Amino acid sequence: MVRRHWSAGRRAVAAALGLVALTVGCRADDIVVPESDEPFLFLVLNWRTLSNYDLETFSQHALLITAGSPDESPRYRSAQRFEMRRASDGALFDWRAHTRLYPEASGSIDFIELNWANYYLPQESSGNGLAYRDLEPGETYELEIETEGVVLRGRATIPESFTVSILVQDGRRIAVWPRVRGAGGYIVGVEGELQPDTTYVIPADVPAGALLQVRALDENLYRYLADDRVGRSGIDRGYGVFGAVVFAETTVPERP
Amino acid sequence: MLIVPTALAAQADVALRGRVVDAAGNPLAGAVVEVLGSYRSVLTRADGGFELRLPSAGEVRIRAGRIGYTPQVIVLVAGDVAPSDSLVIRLAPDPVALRGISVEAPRAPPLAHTVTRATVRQVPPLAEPDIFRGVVLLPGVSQPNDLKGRIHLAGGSSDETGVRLDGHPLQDPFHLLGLFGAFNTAALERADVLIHHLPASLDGRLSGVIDLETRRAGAEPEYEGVLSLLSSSITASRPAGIGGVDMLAAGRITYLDRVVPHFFDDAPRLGFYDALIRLGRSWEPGWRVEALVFTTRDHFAERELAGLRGYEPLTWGESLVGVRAERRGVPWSVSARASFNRASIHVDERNLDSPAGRANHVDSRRDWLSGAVGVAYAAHRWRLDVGAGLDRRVNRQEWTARGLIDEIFSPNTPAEYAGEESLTLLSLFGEGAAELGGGWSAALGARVWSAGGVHVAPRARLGLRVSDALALEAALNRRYQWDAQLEEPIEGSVTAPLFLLEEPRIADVAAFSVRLEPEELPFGGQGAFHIQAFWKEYRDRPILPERPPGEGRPETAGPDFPAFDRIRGRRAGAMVSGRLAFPGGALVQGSYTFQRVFEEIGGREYPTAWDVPHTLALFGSVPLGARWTFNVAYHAHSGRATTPVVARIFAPRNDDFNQIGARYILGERNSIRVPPYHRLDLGVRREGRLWGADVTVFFQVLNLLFRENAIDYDWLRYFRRISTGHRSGAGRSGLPILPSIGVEARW
Repeated sequence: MVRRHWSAGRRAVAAALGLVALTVGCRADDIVVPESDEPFLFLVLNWRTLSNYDLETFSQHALLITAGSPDESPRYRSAQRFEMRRASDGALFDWRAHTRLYPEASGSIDFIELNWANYYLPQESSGNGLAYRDLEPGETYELEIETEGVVLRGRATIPESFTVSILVQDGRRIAVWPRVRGAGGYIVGVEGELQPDTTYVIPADVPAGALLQVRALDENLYRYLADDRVGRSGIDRGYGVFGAVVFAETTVPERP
Repeated sequence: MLIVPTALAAQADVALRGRVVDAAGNPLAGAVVEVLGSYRSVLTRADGGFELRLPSAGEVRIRAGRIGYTPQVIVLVAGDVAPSDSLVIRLAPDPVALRGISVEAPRAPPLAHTVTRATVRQVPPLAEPDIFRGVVLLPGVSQPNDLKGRIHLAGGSSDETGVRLDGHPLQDPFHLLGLFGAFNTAALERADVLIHHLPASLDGRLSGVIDLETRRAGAEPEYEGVLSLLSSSITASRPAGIGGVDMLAAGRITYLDRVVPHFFDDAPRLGFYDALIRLGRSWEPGWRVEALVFTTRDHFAERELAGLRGYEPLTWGESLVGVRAERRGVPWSVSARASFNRASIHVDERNLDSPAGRANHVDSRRDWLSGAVGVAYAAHRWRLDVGAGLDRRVNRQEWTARGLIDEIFSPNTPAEYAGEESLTLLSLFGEGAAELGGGWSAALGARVWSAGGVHVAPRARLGLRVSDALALEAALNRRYQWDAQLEEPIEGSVTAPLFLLEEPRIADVAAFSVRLEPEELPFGGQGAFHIQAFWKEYRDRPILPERPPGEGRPETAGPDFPAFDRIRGRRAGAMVSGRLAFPGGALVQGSYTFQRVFEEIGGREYPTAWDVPHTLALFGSVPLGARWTFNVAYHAHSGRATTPVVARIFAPRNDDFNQIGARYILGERNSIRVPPYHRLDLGVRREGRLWGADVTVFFQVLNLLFRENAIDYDWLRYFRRISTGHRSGAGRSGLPILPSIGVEARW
């Protein structure tokens, strides 16, 4: 019997052909990028909280965009009706569209500068409705926005105003405040930690004279911040949050 | 070749004595000599000698085999064998059998696959041969991505896979965050991968066991050194010497931590070592006692923290001390084992003398003291195994690990935990097997556990040998497992926290196997083919409950942590594998596995995160002349299941209300897949002689196609990349193209 053996060269050629055959069809599947026409609203009613914005023309604003696609910068969305009423008497607020904006919200695909929100509430009433200064702690507000064929409704209560005091105990400085009616939780401390409790041990390295801020968040906003799986809080359609926040501050005393 | 130097005189019921030698007449230890069609088999001693009892009359077929040698079958008439006869069985080397990933190995447990040191070396390695990177080419065995060396068997989670070394259980034998196995391959003899059927003497893992055996001593001292880009190792194996004691010693150490910083300033300091010493002594008739010490240790120091006073970098590892005694004979065999094993993890950043903004602390110590005894009686047509096991496990785990949570721990893991738990398990097992005639065989057994009640794990196996070429087997197992990790790590990591269970995890397994070994194939080829199918029902699978919306990550663990939810699940699959060897030494081996793994949560079934429906593994080896061997391995599988993003929204980051960042809203659990995985590896080995040693230079290129195999999506990075047109492989990726070279020297 004659047995034929392949030469080393022919084996190498065969191996190379085999490799080519193996690589055919090696293609990565694309993940479908979500595209959503749903509106996204960020409206946090603040009372003496967000006063650190540069713009002097308004201090209470709202961002209304289309959720869109994660690989594109978000685009502003117009509201055919943007109504917010005080629940106690039904009085309407004077929400206005900001007109100096580009089509895309300022920022990038992964952040937005809220200074460039597209709706705002004037500081003072001009006779067309209530203004920023008419917001009151403890009051409930009802929202109804009609935007490009979608109507979303929401309801939020600004937590009561409160004060913070500092106890010195066992060599520690402890900030304490009462449980705030209407609040679901608090942001406190240097790192801005979110917590449901009403005490906070001030770190030893915080110098005397520093201002300690405590922000009381309503249930809607606390829920929205506490769980990054939450897509909607305080509104019945679309994505986003309709919430409220108040703040109190105090001066940190000397370490004992 | 058979040599019978003396006449075989007729005498009934006599012991058959003999020796198994290689072609040069050197004794072969560890060869299996068995009476075919019966349960009578023995292993040869260090001098190649054996003694086997034959049935009192009739024709018997004696088979002798050892991995790497062509088995020999000898036909004798039992009544003709005289007490003074000595049978010498000469086995010829069978290099073809060494080139496949799996080999048809003597002593392989039913429905199991076996790989050897020699076969693993043929697989183009990640820097150097790794037993776990070899077994992954077997059907039903998978590693979901490049950075995860832990093994999934037939769709199970990685903590369902047990690893044993010479019968001693191990807990976490991996290096480099799970990237490599912690074994110096030169110190191993073989690995049996048991998935579909676990004999009653083996239990405690739902998916199966990788049973490693250390290198057996040859007739002469053997030394081996391996030098690779990753590490260097030395292994010494000596036959019985002073006091009749044989020895295996092996050590391996990496120089990654010394070399890498010269090229990458900001790279972490990452290093490891492992070592193994085994002393053994054999006595007549068939007794052997072994003591084994094995240790592995890794360290990982963050670049920016290394050198700071008070910084205790991340270290982890495992140490094993074990003693094993056994007598293998016919009809009685006995075995006993005692093992102590400690796996630990430690890192402490709390005492840094300069503020680094971190205060991670992990201190984990898991002790496992275990022992087992077993007795087997092998008659001609039946065999009985009985035994008992005792396990005492103590876990002390504590952590304060806010900064490490996403890397090591489950998202539902509390930031702080401290706890100690213990578990004592007593188990008894018994299993009987019988040749029923007509090619049928059956085994029936059970393992009974006592812990928090009595738990019975029955098992049954039925076999039919249709012919020498075709065998069918079916098995039914109930399995228990008494620990659970918090969550399956997506990629390589230090072992996630592991908790002991008072109520065990339970799974029922059914499997069916067809094995076909045709006498001869076209072109003079030889081959073996397997078809296997399995069904597994999880009756009691623990998972961490997801926290309800609105609740953030818990700060401190409650007293009942981890309070697993118990769910049901199922997995099913089938696999086809084959090996073809051709004259001249060329070999092709491949397997395809289809399997699905589901878990039932909240009344709905979802794929698990490691559900990989299709897996294809191919391996080819072609000798190029007398000294060169060209090896190629191709591995492809479906992308693992993951949860898609259905919308991008925005949310403030706590106190910063001026800027709101992207938040990705997830859709249905595990309803999409990352892109499929493909990897092509090439390797070349050249053998030669240098200064009296056999020297092999191995060069390989992993991921030759330079494919970015996604591990998981970092959604932010993913969307950023696709916005610039990069759609493939976005997200966290595995290995780049990776050439490496190494040298093995044996003398």
